[in-house]
Amino acid sequence: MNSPRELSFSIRIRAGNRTLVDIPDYSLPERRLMILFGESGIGKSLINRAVYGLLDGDEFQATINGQDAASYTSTPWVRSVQENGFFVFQEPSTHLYPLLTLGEQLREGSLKDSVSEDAILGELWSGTPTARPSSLLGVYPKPYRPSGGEKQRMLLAMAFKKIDLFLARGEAELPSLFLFDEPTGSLDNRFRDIVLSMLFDRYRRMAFTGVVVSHDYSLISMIRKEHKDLAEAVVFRELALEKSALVLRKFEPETYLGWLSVQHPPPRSPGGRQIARIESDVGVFHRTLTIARDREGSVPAPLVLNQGAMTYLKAPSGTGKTTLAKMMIGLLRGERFSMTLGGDTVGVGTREEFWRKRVWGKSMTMVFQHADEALNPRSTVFDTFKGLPTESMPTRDWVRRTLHELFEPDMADEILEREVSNLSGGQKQRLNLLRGLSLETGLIILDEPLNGLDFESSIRVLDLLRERQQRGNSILVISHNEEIFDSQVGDEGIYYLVQ
Amino acid sequence: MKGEKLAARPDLVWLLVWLAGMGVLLLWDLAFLNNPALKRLLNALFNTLAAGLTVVVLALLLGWACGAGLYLLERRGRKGVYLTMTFLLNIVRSVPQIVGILAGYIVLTLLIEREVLVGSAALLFWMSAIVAVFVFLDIADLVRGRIAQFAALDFYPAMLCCGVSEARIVNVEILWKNSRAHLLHAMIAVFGMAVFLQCSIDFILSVGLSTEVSASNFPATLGGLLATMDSKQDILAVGTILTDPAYTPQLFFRHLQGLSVAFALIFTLLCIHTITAGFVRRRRL
Amino acid sequence: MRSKVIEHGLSVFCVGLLFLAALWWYSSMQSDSRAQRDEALAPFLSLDSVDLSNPYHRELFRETAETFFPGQPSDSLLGAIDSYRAERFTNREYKSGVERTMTGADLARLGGMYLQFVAVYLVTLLLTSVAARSLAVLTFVSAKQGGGSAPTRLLRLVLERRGADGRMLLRLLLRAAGSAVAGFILFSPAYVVAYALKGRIDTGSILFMILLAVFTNGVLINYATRFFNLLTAESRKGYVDTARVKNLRAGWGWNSPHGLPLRLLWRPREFATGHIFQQIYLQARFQLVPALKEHASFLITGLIIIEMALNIQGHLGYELLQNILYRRYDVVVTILFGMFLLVKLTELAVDWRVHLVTRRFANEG
Repeated sequence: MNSPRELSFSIRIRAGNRTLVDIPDYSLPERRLMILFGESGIGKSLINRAVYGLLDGDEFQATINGQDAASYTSTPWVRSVQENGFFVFQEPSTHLYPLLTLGEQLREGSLKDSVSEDAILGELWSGTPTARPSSLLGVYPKPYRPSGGEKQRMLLAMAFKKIDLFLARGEAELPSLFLFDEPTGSLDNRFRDIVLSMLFDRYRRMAFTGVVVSHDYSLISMIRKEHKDLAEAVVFRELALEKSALVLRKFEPETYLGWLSVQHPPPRSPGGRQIARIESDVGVFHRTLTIARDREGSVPAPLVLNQGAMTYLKAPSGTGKTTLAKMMIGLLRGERFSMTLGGDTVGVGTREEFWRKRVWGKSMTMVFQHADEALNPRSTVFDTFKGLPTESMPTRDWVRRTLHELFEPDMADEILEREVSNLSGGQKQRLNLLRGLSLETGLIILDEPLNGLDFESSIRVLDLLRERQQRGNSILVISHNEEIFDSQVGDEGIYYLVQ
Repeated sequence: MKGEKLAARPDLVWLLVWLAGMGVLLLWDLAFLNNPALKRLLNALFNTLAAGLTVVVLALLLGWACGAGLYLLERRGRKGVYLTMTFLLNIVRSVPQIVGILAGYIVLTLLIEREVLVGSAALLFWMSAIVAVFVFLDIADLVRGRIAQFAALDFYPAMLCCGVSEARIVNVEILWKNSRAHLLHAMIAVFGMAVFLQCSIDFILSVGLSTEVSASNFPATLGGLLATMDSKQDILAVGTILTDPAYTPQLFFRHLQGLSVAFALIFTLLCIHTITAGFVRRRRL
Repeated sequence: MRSKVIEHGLSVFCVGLLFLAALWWYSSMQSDSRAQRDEALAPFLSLDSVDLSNPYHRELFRETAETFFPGQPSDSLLGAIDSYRAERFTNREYKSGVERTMTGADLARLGGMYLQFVAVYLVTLLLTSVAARSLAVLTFVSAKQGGGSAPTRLLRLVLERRGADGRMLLRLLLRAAGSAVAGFILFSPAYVVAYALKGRIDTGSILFMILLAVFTNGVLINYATRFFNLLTAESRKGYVDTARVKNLRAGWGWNSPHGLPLRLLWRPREFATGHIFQQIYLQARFQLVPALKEHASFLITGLIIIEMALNIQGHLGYELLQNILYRRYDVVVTILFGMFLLVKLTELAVDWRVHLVTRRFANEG
């Protein structure tokens, strides 16, 4: 295969007086599939929206290749891209229209001409007999129904319809661009693999330019194992800050694969005291969840969390991992739930007073998965640590020392007085983790702790978690990064949640 | 570039326009309006703005207390108190503002007659308090809406799990740190509403209820001044220019009192609206 | 919805009880004090030979009173008699000899006025909704077309000292002046406009009242601004981007191939099918429904202000003012309750509408 022609863009995006993105060279290999990594909030979505010609509104002032957004959008290349391409946006909930059924949205605009709808839906829903896509087509998208995964698959179905339309034209030279912004964020690994296989199959039929934005480094292993023939067609790149300048650089798959090959779970300390025990039968939202030792749920077992140990809870997305965590920390009551915490037995009838006085920030804490939501964007980094139940008011020195655990010292000093909204997504996630970890509670629940982090920061976080284990903390992790956490937790610490 | 910068801050531009407009009015009146009328005008303008500001402060206090209080009551499971308070607030909401304020003024008159209330400052305060009761719900709704919005995100439970107290999450983290712009916007709108209602009620009282509530008992606002015979004659004269456009220049010399009062009132209401609209645009509320 | 109906019903019941209690308390207080006064004055009122309007008789009466009731100020007795006599002339009930309670005829008259008020209110509500919609859509599309408002463009020209050709400057100046005049009218309290036009047109007519209610008091502009803000907020939502990548029309020119039909402005049921604006518009309109409650309440406030300030006889607002003046609080309370009922009915209708729409889009109905 020849080396691809690169489509180069210089992009600068401002909102009011703030420069959000300034990248002099963002290049896409033409008729290749680019997997784009990089910490969240660094500008991946904005850059790709700019390239696709979607920033011509009044919200941003964008300059693309020296042109303002409106002139850029009216160039023939962009027009062709918009006519033939598609963009799968990151947040399925906000990108579907609440007043039209999913079926109506699937057949809107240029999608009404596509004939491959049934086959696409069949593939995307294969192996799920309970939720047939046809029953979803008459449903309006609401926050809780359909689920995030179902909404995401609907958006993906739209993209595949558009790709099929493009393939049917058979004009490989026609400018086109298919952008997938974290297209499998709400899907578990099985569906992730299905979606990528669908994309790669279409690419094999006729090469097109595609970008998949992702934080999931285990994609590398998956592609290496199952799609060897595309080794040259799939390009890995990473968007990163180098000396405060945004650059697009090559990401060597070996960096990840090499690191993974040397990971081993630490030996489990035999004398670890039991911190908490959750009985395996859980009832919530009129559903029964079972905690088990195997993926199918045939060996139910209580979830036992020991001092100095990391425990990993796995389940397909949408099963209720976060729901169970919220029950453990008293944010949700449910119908059936029993937990032994220290010497107390708590259940659905336990009063909130108990959690307030004994649990929250004292014996247990939970770090939520979306740092953007979990932190106060209008607080400074220093103020984020105010109001916590620490013995005395946190001093600047104390906060600085805490930040050093996940930030370089000079970076920690630099961001101490910065407003959270001005941090990058990866910095926010690290701050989110540090706020929870600084409380030194016996039990820490981490919901998707590697969310939004680049590879380097992920390794740093994993090292810190190991150190906390050694100090005696019990850590419960909920994550879809199976490959990474399987390498950190031994079999005895792995549990499954089954519906 | 300067134009670009100012155009990006339309609220500030309109504040400047208001100040400039009122400045021109003052200069013109200093030159051409007789002294007693000028004094009356300045006094009425001061009273109107002071009453409006008092309403804003009281409405903010009431709205914040009610909004945050109701949320915390609901969270703590005090259903009885919560439902009763919501029910009472909904009743206040269903009373047309002008009717409620009129009823309040009748009570005020009784208190004046019995000499419970004396002094114009006290009167101005109670006048504003009555208006505040019928406009603070906008702020209470905003406060509740903001809390609900953050409670639906991970924001609230994430802090709760870290042991941050609910009073701090609501008052400091949500309302103080994240809702100041929204509150300021609501306060400017309440100010406009207060000026409008206060002036309307004064106008009505001075025109219609003079035997019941002597207008001279209440501190005069622009509405009251507009209802005086002189001002009404001046406003009538404005209609003259429809049939006799040549009369227009006379308006600015002969009918200055009524015209100045009407201009100050309408121009203030107009600018408050444009300031809030500009604020919404700039802060993307 | 049932809970909403119960809540509204309960509050009507409670407020009704409150009004009844106030009425009862007032009438008992009123009759007590009147009875006491009348009883005290009765011996002096039936003195046939004394004519208190005659100064000589007054003086004689005062001296006699001081002789027989030493220590009691005779002036206050005379004052009480005077006010009693005055009341008989000024108060309608005394003149006509009827009791101070409402009669069936009173109620029928009030009912007629109430119906008229409701009719005016409904017409005004409809007119402001349609006009505000057109104004909001026009402003929104103009903003999308770019360029900014005439005053903003003028300001930029002045501040940047950019050269502009004379015709454009004149056009901008005329447009800015037009906006200023329109702004002044739209934000005028109704009574200012009405007094300015008094004597030139029939300011007492219902048509004029409706026009005032729609175009003054800031009613129209506030409602339009709210709609405009919702349109702007919706246009920034993610689903608009999805609609764009699905190749729905996205141009903003009037009657251009990718743009919007101009008839959108005067046809409330025109939805611009196949254009991203359709989704923005329907979603904004959906969210505007609950705001109709506040709008309705403010509209009633505006109507009452107009009727009171203009002193239009035969209208409910005027009647309310007059009866406060005559201290006929039974009539006052009845009118107030009627207005409360009107707001409650509007709220119920809005809640019902919200319930229907929400149920449909929540996959329930």
